Amino acid sequence: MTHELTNQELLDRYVHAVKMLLPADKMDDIAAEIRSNLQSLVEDRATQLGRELSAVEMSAILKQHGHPMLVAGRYRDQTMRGLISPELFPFYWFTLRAILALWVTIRVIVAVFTLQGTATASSVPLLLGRDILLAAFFIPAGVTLIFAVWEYLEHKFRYSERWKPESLAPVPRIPQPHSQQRPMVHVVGGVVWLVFWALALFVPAFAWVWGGRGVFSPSDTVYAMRLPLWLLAAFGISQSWLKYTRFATAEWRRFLVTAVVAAGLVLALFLLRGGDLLVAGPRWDPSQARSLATLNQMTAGVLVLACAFAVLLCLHELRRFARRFSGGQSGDKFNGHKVMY
Amino acid sequence: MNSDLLENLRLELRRGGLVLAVLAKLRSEYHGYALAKALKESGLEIDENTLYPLLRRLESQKLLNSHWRVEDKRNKRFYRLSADGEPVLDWLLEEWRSINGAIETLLEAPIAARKKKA
Repeated sequence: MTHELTNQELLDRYVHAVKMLLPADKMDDIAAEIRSNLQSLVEDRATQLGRELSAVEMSAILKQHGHPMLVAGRYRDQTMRGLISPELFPFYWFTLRAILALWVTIRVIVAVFTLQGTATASSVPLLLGRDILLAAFFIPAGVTLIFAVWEYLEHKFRYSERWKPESLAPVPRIPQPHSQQRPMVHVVGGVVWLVFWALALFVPAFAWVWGGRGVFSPSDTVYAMRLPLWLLAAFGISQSWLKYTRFATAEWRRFLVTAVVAAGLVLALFLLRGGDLLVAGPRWDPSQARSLATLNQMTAGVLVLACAFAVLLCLHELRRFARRFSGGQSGDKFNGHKVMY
Repeated sequence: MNSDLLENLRLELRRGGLVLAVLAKLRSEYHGYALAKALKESGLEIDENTLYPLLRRLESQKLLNSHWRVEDKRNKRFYRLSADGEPVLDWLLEEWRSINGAIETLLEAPIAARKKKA
């Protein structure tokens, strides 16, 4: 047989449930006030009815008063209700997704690369799954923590109130056409380029791409730098993806392009210092010696040209940033506006 | 018309008015439930879970004073407009009348124009 609760017991339970969810420093005082107000309400109803309330009526009053969690929530500091405010949330959400997508892409590429000819190839998918699961926990935790600190500092120091309209980026003179096709071509081209290098560098069966009949192989320098080359390719594709999805501002994409080009410049310089990029392969034929030398000269020439282009582009971007920070206008059609393409 | 939208608009419209009504009513002393009842009788019904935390917030902003006192053999917390709250209430009332007057003018302008045409 179940014990039927009295009105007093119902009220006690309700007030206690609310109290446990209240801020610790004020819980007794607020709970006492909630009890007092509810008792006044119950007395008022009883006076209207001319009798004591039944347990069902008491239960209905408490239910109407609201769930303890919601009632207690109203007494919490409204400014600290959420870690991330609605104003900051869209940027937080974009950052979280972008970092997760970039990390997973890079990790998958590294895993695919690691699978090539390693003795522990069978464990790679397991490691990949574990890393992705860990990232799914740690990346959101880290990003949330950073944004929560930002939110706290903003709440405390009100940085956003110190902005000046004059400091906003200028509107571009020539709007960028909203073409979907060109960036799509970039993405497809990037993937093809990545696959080509993957096959050419690491799959012996595809060695023909180097010298017609598999007589040449990548040098030890190229082989040693395969991971940075892959990462560079992945960053290049992610840049195209950002352009295609329009998730990043033109200014951010421009920064990414410059970063990728600068990294490529460093890699190219290392490759040039390492001497010949191609060496004799397993099916080497001495009659191909001249072809190998020519091919190495051409490759070196292309790398030198790429370095020169990269240096020029980096200098141009540096000059543009310097002018922007000194208050001038570069007059470029991108000009650092915040419009998403 | 979407009822959620209407409800949101109504709540937005009421939000500022509620603070004004509470401050105005608390020129006399009330405890929470009695204040909710008095406002309801004046035609301004406020959800208790909105009113009671609002009283706490206004008190923390030093616009209200409160104290516990026994009434009808029970301990109750009474609120009253503070000395700091009085000029704030006057200022808010002035602002309210100004907004009210402006809206009345806005509403009357098309009526006057129609009369002039006729």
